[in-house]
Amino acid sequence: MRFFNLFTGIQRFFLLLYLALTPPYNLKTLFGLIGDQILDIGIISVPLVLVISAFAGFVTAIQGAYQLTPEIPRYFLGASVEKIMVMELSPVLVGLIVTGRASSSIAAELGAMRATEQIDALEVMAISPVRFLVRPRVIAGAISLPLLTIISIVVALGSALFLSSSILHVPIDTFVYGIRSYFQSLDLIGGLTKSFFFGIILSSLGCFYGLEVRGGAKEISQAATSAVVLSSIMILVFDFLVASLFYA
Amino acid sequence: MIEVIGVKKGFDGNQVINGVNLKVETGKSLVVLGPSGIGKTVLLKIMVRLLWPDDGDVRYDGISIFRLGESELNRIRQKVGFVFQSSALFDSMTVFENVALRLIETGTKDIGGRVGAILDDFRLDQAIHLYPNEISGGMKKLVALARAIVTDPDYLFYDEPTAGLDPATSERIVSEIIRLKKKVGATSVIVTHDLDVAFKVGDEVMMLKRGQVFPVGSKKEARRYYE
Repeated sequence: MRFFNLFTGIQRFFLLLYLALTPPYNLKTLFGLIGDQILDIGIISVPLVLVISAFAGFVTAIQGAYQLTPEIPRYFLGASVEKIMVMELSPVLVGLIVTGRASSSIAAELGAMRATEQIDALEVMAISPVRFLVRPRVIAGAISLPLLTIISIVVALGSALFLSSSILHVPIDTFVYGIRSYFQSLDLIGGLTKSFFFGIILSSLGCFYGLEVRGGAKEISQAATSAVVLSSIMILVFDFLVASLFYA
Repeated sequence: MIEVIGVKKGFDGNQVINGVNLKVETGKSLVVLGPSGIGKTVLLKIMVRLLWPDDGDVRYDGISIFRLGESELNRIRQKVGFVFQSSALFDSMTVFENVALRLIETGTKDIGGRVGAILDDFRLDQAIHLYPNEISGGMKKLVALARAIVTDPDYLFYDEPTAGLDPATSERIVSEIIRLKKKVGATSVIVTHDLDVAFKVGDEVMMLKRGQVFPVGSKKEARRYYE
């Protein structure tokens, strides 16, 4: 029975995603709705991303410098921080942070809308809840996460550069030389591809668990928790899949 | 005309609706009366396909709503207005946006004028920029009414329109329903547990009991069913 529930749940999730991304599109209202959601998912997450990325940059620089032996050129610090942040740490950190903040909030919001008959109201008004609520959130997630990842990369590299030059005795020129020498566009394409999928995962799972709520406060909180847990797991699974595709 | 034909619905072995047959003639209003928890809302939700029956059918002017695809169903739903028991206003939207949403989605012209006129009509013009959590329960009901009629629907459904309201607000909602009946002329179905409301707004009153409906002609007769 559990296996059957899992199977039908997966089926419902993919149907939801399919309906959210396929026509018809009401372009008159869609752009406004996406804008609202970019604000909710993306822009509100910016301060959190700034703080966490700055500290991720500090830590990566310190631990990178710790690995440097006298035989290793010091510009390797810039190269290693760039590779770590662009390919892995920024996309995954941003994905997990936004999951904790936005996926749970999406699930709770849609769950509350389900519990208070607002979803029923949309349906009976001939407005598809999937197209009105899910579509803008999924598209906004797919747009916001790569943008937040770019912000995170810039802040992390900036903070690592600051720490390296001020405390770790790696001059700015040397650090930047390391970044420029070893940077490949595939690093960034891979990182942004990851964050694009992470955006779709966390928003669509938030919507799915929210719309599946049947009941009240307890079920809404369970939906929010489930959305965060499964989104986090799926982010790590997709991290592996995209890394395998780009870098294996 | 709305027809409910042999509708049955159960939850976890509990048969809530057990072979209900109803017919609401065009322009008439039918009241389904019954105590709380008897299945009135379930019946109403089946009538607009928010719930699927285990058996039976619902037809609008002869068209079965359970055999329609999404776009065909939406064509019928565009002619439906529904007032939920909880009002079901959208929390994230102002009163104006709640009422205007349907017009925005259908690309109607002069939305501001139409919505403004309806809100004036309901004396809600002061609440136009407020959010649902900033207005009273009675005002929420009025906004829900305004939202339901903004598209001049052919069919109107009311789920416990006066539940939880004080007598004065309840009276105002009832008078608005009667006024709308004359003004909009929609085919209406009202479910309520309130005997006074039932006999004020209904052309026909049916009692839902043990999953089936029975016609009632007077408050006295209805009271007997309650007992």
